[in-house]
Amino acid sequence: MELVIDRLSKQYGSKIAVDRISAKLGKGVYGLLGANGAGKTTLMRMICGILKPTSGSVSFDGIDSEEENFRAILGYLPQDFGYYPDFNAYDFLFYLSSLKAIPKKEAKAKINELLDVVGLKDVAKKKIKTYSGGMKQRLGIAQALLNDPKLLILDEPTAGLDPKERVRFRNLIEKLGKDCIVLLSTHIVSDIEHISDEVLIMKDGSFVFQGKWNDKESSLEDFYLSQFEEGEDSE
Amino acid sequence: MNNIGTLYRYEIKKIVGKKLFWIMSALLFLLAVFTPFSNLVGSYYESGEKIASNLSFYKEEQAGKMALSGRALDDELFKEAIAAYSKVPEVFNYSSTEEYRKYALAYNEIYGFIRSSTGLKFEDIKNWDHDATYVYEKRKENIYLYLEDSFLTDNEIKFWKDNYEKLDKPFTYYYHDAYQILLDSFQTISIILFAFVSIVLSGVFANERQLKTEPIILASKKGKKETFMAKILAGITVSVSVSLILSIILFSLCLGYYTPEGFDYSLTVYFNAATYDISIGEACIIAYLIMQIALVLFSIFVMTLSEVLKNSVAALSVSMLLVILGGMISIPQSFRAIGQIWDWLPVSYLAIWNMFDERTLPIFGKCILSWQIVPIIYIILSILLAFFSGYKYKKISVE
Amino acid sequence: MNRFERGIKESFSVPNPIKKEEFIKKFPKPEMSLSKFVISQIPYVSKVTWALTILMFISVFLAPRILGVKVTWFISGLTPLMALLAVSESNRSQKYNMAQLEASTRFSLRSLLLARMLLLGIVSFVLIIVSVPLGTFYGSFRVFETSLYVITPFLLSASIGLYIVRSIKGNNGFYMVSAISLFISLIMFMGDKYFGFLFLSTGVKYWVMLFILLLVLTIVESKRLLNNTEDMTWSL
Repeated sequence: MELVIDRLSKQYGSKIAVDRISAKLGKGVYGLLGANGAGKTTLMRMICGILKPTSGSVSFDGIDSEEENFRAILGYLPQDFGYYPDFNAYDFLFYLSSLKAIPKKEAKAKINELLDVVGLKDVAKKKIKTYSGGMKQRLGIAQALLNDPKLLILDEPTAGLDPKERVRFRNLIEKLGKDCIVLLSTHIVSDIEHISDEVLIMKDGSFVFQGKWNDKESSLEDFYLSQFEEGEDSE
Repeated sequence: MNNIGTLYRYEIKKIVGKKLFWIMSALLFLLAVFTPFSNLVGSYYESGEKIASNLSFYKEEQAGKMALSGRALDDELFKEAIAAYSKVPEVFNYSSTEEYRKYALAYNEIYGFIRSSTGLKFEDIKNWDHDATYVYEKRKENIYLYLEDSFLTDNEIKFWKDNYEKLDKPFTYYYHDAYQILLDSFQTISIILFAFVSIVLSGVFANERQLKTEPIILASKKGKKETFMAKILAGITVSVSVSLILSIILFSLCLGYYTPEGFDYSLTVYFNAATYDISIGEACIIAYLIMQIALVLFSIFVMTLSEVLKNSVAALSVSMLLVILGGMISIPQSFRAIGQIWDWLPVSYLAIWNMFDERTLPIFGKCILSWQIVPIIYIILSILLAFFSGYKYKKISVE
Repeated sequence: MNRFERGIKESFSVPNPIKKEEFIKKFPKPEMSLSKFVISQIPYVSKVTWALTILMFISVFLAPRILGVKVTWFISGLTPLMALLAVSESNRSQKYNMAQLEASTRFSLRSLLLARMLLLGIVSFVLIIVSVPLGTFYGSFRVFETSLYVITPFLLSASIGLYIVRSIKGNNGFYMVSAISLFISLIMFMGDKYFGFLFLSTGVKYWVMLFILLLVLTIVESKRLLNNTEDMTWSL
């Protein structure tokens, strides 16, 4: 199981949003850290195959990101996603199950399981427009897990979750990371501090750090900030 | 297959789940129910004085026409019509006189036939001393003159003249109000249907971007080809279903109230320029069938706009503007090619005077009538547009 | 500046200001009257709205030359679009999520809405005042009937639009308003050709009743929108 990102770039006019990023990711949890405008969301969209790169490629076990089979193993939670106001949680998840080519019977079982996991079983028949921000986010997480993805891309997944929900989420990701590749971006360092196997720090479209960090030497937050200081020093 | 079925059902749910769909459907339904009876509502006034209710006026007229139905438009019938009209006083508003209602009302379509063929004015009726041969000769002369002034090719003129010669004369008069109402209201119904399609389908693709559901859909296994097919099929299903239901309601009401009599009434008697052997009943069926095909093309067009413009209001504005322009603009016949292309666009074509007019498409020396070829062109264009739209959707990128 | 002034400037350094903030605070804050506030909002009305408004005025003046007697239908088809512009401008705060910020300013959201409605209302009124004589002169109806056929569609579009933007938040509401206004415009543009039965002389009394009803509804809905500004700042 390997995700290969090969010299991936995205340019908008004269602005380079993602600058020749390369990486090989195996099973585990990867934390993507970076300031606002660093290019995290752009990178994640290109990995998912929903944003055309200017150059470079992404593949999973040899399957290119533009192919249908790539999307079959993908679970994606965008940073700011929408919903159909008149759908309830069941409708929304059933609809996405059909998009993910999950047979009806299997989908029903999976949906019930996931609603339980994310704590939305009691409100599943209510319309999504009545949900709070946190509930919508949990629904988003549920849809990303519908097809038991081998590659899970989560863009700011803990936004809108309260501390208790964030702990539950971290435990879930940790468990998932044992069987698939999880790439999650966040501003909240504590979300990935204890669960990520590797940290990817992004600045101005490139990785300034990629690898494991030693929690005995410093906290991840200090480590993250120090990367930027080092970056400034070298300038 | 099961997944496409589920996706298709959800796409239909997204379209019909909107309040606007039900508001527009209700308006369409009201229009369909009201249209056959719009002429019967209210009263007929002359100089501020109520003469009679439209319904009672119509009942008298209907009884008279039904009594004449099935008779040949020959010497005997013409003489009766002239004699009836001769009893009406020669005043400006002769149609509101008691004598008109008593003697001439039933013969108004017969008189109309004579007038359109010979140019006979009401004030000259008492001096009329011609026969049916004269009427048909004058009619032929006028039609031929019209054909020669209509910027047609020599081949087309010969084609129409030959067609006219083949028609059985004298024509037979039939009471045909049901079909007349269906044809008279055809363009109004079509325009409202096109507006309905614009309103209901402009958001099919654009809404996914506006609602921010696009990234999740595109990142799914069936998020491209299958989703596209489901959306297109759902859009077509909704528009054609509504149109078919509307057409059935309209046909049922017209044929139910005004009776199915008159199906075989020659179209050329109702619409002079249509000099070929087709009945008014057949023309109704052809017109309303072509409307369904035109709607399919227009639906795909609106959904393509929705996808390309990525903004539902922009797609709505562009498509509604086309509907308005199609209804308002007519290009003179002297500009043959441009005029024919414009009149054959779905937004302009759904009018009896375009659908059954004399312009043809020459293919290998044969003149193919517009109502024979336009549906085929629409089907081909629908397929091409769907492919283009699918290709664009395949390349879609969340910028 | 001459060389002496330049010389003095170079020779002497300006002392640093002392108690500058205290001194500035002594000055009374410049006040803005409501009318000045309304006028100050002119450049903040969307450029597209102004461009489309100008286009409408140009169309109204050109229409008689091109359309002749059909000019009445054209003008009565334009006015619902003017109403659409006015309603969408009133809805901008909600559409772009600015309502909360605007509600917390001195001239609150209510005043801002009122300013926008006044501005676009005045422009709409001018369009109608200009259109009615043109429509009467070149068209086939009398002044009274022309006024009815021009103003009533405007009020229909405005009253429905104001109700919708108050009840339905977000893009959905704006789309509904656009669809309904365009539909009303379509009916009016096609009036003479396909909906002639709506414009018979026997129907004028119904138009008058509709006009009065819609005028009242438009005023009521405008008031409700102004009084409902709290709703705009509430977000789920």
